[in-house]
Amino acid sequence: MMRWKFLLRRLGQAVLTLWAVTLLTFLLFKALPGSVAVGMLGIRAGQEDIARINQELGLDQPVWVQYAKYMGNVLHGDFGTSITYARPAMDVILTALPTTIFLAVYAVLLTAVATVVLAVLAALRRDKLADHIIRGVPVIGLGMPAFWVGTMLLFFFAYKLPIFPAGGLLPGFSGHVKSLFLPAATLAVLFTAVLVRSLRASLLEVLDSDYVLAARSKGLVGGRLIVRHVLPNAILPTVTLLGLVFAGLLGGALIVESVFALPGLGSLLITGFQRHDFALVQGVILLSAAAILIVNILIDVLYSAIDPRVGLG
Amino acid sequence: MRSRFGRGFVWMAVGVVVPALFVASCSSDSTSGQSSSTAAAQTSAAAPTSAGGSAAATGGSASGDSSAAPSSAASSAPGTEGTPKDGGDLTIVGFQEMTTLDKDLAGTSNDALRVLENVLDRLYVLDAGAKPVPSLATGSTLSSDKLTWTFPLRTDAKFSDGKPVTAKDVVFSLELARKGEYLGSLYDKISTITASGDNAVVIKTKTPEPVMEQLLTLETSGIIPDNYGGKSKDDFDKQPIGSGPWMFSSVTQGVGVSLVPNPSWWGPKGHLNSITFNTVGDPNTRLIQLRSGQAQLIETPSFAQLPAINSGNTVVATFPSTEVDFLTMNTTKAPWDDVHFRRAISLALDRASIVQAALRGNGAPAATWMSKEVLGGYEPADGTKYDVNAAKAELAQSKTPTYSQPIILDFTKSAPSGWNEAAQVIQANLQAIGLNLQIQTVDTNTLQAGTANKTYDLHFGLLTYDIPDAGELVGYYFGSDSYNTFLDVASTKALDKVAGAEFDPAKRLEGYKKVADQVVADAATPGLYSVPYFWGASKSLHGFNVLLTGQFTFNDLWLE
Repeated sequence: MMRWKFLLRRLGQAVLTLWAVTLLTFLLFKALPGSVAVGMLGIRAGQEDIARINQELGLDQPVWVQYAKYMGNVLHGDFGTSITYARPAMDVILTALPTTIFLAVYAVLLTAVATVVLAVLAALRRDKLADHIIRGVPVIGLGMPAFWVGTMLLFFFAYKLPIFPAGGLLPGFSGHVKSLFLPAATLAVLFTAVLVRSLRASLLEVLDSDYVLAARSKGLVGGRLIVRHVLPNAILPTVTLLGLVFAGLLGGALIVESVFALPGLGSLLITGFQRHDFALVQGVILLSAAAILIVNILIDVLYSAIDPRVGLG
Repeated sequence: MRSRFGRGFVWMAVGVVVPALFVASCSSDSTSGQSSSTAAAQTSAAAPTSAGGSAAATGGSASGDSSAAPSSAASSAPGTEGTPKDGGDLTIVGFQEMTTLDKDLAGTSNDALRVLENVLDRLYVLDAGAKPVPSLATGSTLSSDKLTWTFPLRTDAKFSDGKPVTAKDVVFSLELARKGEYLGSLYDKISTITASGDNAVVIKTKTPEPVMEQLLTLETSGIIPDNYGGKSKDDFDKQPIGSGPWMFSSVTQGVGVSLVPNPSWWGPKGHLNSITFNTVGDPNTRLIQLRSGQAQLIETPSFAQLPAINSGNTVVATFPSTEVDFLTMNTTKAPWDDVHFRRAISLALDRASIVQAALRGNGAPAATWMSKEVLGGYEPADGTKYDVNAAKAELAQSKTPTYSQPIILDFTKSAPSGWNEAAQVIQANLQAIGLNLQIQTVDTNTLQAGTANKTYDLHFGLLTYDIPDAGELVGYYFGSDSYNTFLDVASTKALDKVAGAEFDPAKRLEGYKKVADQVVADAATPGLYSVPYFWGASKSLHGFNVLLTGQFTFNDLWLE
């Protein structure tokens, strides 16, 4: 019952937040320099074309009139037409969304597995060689830009050892799994570098606690100790971080999408800005904001499920 | 391993293996020799609507004039010899997303143009010599007053859904072309388009249109079913139906399109089982796809990648193009409103050095945006002249002989490859005559605002032709406020009026040579260089030949 009340309250807050996001994005976009006509026609755009296209798109109206009209349409489910794709903006965005979600989930899964395995190994081998390597290598990962990591993975595993496709998106579930492995691994390299040290620190803290000592004294060792007593208590901060990583990826991983030629939300956002395509930009930002809000709510619920001591409210 | 010796051995091994992997990754066969900044510049290079003031990717090849032979080096295409073999699946990778398959708006993407030109048949198409030849039409007749064109149609042409192509479909399609947002202005001379029975179309013009057949080769002149075959426009544009040699089998947003042969095509069949046309913005990834065999043809590799492509099983294919990169000057403000100041700039430009720096020598100096290829090799006198003393003399005659304020040349980070290097040479050139050029990379919106609000100083521009006629880009020149220079071009319009009315190809060409002379004399859009088309190709690919307009016929392609 408490959980339902919590959900309703948070959803209500989310709606208000989303409205604020639309207003802020609208005003900021209007403040941006640029011209839809020049974006469409390039060097062939004359002043007459600029005036005509502005009039056709209602861009010559006062800003508050444009916003009122936009919000009126949104409330009827019309998020505007993308001038770049010449079709409804939400249609374009929803077409790109599955790729972004798949990549985000894939990257988070790889990150979670790598983080847990490496952090547990490092914590159990504290101050030994494995611990030093595991703590040191991620630092290198932090210094490598996503662009370079992605290109190197392509070079080695798509060209020298052609195990994976060299970019692009293959159809179907198995096609997605194969073609998104390298992009997800690129993201996982970068995120694991951050998360493994955090989880290792949490594990060490829990391993030194009294209840773990008590568990060991009762003969509980190895995997059962880690899985039942240590990880659940140590993983909460990492779950939060993973959730934030996932939420952030839902806005699109632009550099990775560019290197691997993936049709995700990040690419749409950049195209929208370059073409001064308001409907596309606003739609992507709105969807990303909604996704982040929902993920945050889910993290809070998950938190309380993992640790019953954590209350909702 | 608990001993100190063992631990040290492991660290030593790590210290050897990691650098070895790094060195291996930077081997001579490296596909990642591209710096990230140049790669980023390539990402939307030559985007027709990019606000670097770049491409109106409305390409056209050399005019139908027989004297308009390409002046640049002959193309080097992989495997144009041999007996064509049937079968195989070809993957082509371009860099520009096909955001729409609307036949008018597709003009904003060169790759969409190429695809639609092979899916949508037209009344006329360009042959290998870039001359218009009948396709859906069987020919044409022109009335004695030159205002009425009659086009009899083939009776055996069918759309890919099996339905016959009729005059009604042609009328519908050409009316759409006239109303097109992007290329509609090209059809301004047309007054009516009507069907004459089921198998002929009559086009009447307000004034004589000498390039009617060339206009009908454009992809926006592509013939689609009347009333979109009963579908809504949005649904039709997702996967257009045409009567050309190829048809869509799938279209995936952000990825590309797949084509298969149209079983209803009336002409000679192609050789391939399928063609996939994908979009990959990153030039390194395009190269990896080519070298790994995932693709057999990639568009516009960067100049740094050309040596890597010319090795092993891949080769660089170059073809003459109509692309010209140039500068635009905002003549609404001083000192750009002074023709002597503008001419001083043009004379100070060392175009040969700019070609070396920007294109690594893979191009040629250009006098104007009117490509030499469509002017029969003609170049206006002094158009590419580099003379510092003459530049100083022009500057001395201007209203601002000692202009000390900084001149801003701005462009975007995603500008075509070479503009950054060209800007640096231009900066040095202008310094030699006492002018201070500042180079600024800005975001697209800021660049667009500079054009729309007439506040910029200098921009880059890039143009290609859509139809093989010099007049096409002259028409756009007038409609675009002289390519955003806002120059009064009454004299140029007068010359164009004469040239544009000429049906005789030789006289028409002579007329446009005079227009080119005037454009050079105005000096508001000094040319920098012309750039050939570059493609990376597998040596197993044959029949690849790119026309001046950038088109190539998919039916000619075959794989070993």
